[in-house]
Amino acid sequence: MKKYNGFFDLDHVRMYLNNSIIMIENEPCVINEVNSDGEWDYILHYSRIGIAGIREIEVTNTSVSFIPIKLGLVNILYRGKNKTFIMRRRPNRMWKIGLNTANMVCTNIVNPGLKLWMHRNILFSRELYKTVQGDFPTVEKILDENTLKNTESIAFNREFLIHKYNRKLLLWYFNYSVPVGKIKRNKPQLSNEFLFLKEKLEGILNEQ
Amino acid sequence: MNNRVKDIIIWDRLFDPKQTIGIEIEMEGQNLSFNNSIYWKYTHDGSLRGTPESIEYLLKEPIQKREVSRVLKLLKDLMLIKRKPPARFTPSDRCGVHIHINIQYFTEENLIKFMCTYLAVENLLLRYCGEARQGNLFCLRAIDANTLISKLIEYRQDGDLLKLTSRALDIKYAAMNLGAIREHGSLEFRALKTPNNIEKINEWVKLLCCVRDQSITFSSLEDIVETVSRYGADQFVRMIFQRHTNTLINVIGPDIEDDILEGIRIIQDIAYAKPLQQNKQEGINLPDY
Repeated sequence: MKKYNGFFDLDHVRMYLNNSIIMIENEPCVINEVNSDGEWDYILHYSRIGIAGIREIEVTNTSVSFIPIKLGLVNILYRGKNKTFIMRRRPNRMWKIGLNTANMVCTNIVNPGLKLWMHRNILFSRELYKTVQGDFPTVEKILDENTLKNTESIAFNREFLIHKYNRKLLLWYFNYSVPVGKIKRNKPQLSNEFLFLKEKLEGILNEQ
Repeated sequence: MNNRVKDIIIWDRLFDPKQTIGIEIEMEGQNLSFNNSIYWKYTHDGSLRGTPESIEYLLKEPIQKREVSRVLKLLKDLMLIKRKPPARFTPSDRCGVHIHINIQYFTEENLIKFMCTYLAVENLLLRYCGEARQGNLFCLRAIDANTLISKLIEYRQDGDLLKLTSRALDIKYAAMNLGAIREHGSLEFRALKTPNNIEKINEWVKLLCCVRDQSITFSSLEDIVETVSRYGADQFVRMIFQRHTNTLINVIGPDIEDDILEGIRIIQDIAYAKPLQQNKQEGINLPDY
């Protein structure tokens, strides 16, 4: 991948990267600090999300990627219950290449009134790591009684989630503010109005 | 959706309907200023830090599409031939070209068709602009920063154009900047890196104008999605870019299917979003089966 050639000096690299998340060696990583090696390159001091320990890498290393990380639904244990939040990046006028509290939006589609005030905690959490890496429970696992017991909503993919509403299990899609289907005979089923999502949903279920 | 944008948003000035193209060129190099030009002016851009000089050239007024080539050549001649000593253009990766396309006279329906047709081919256009522009924080694609998609879905549901175009700084760094609608009466396309030869900007303008002109031939947003299903990605791209298709394909190569399908999946969510029910019951509206 072509590298970003727009850095003027050390302060500029720090402004663009410090305290933000980028992909390094295909893992989402937090940039803690940037230093100069004195002559040719800038050294990134980073840690993998949710894993202790600081590592170093040159900014020009080919495994450093400045393409924005993949976001979507994030499963979080919130006040003792599984809840799902959507994380999106905003294209706002803010000089950060990586994901940062200032260029992300975190909302709950099932319960829009529920605001998550701990953006920073989520940003550097293992839960976000799982979303970026596409690590979600399967539908089968979610429908297991033990998982459902402490669940309000839980995602099985970056785009789809299951919501426990009274005695019903509803299917939601991250871009819409209404349920798009339900769980019938232990399988997600789209309502007629949202059948255009069928190909996408089937693709996801087949991969599980 | 049949209202014209000019009837909803008020600007200082309504331009002539034929004046459709605005151009901003960020440039770095030497001897970049000039004394007088009918079409161009310049400002010093704080976001650039080129040495020894950095500047932004702006059109004083929007121009007609057919004038673009001539007006770019005028700037080039002014800087490289008439100016003594001549300018030396050395634009870095930081420099971009921002094209504004006037939408003041568009209906809301045509505006959203234009935006969605662009989104369908955005990945291809960003590939045309070069690898360094893909994922670039100054011109993020909809797949990189997808609050743009949720805003368009919301607009499709509530029809509130003022809300869609508000909070301009929150959406400014998208490759397609909706904030410019409210500010200038245009859609701004920010993806092109400043080329060494500024006359090449004309090709980019032609590609964007193809998207604009073909978008209004679709009967609806659903029609855009269905056209790809019916004719395939390759034919869709030829329908959009017409005789300029090769300009695009010669740069990005023939491998276009995945990018078009990704674009179509994005606009599918916008196209099929239904307006919110007027009498929404309390709690969650369960869907019909």
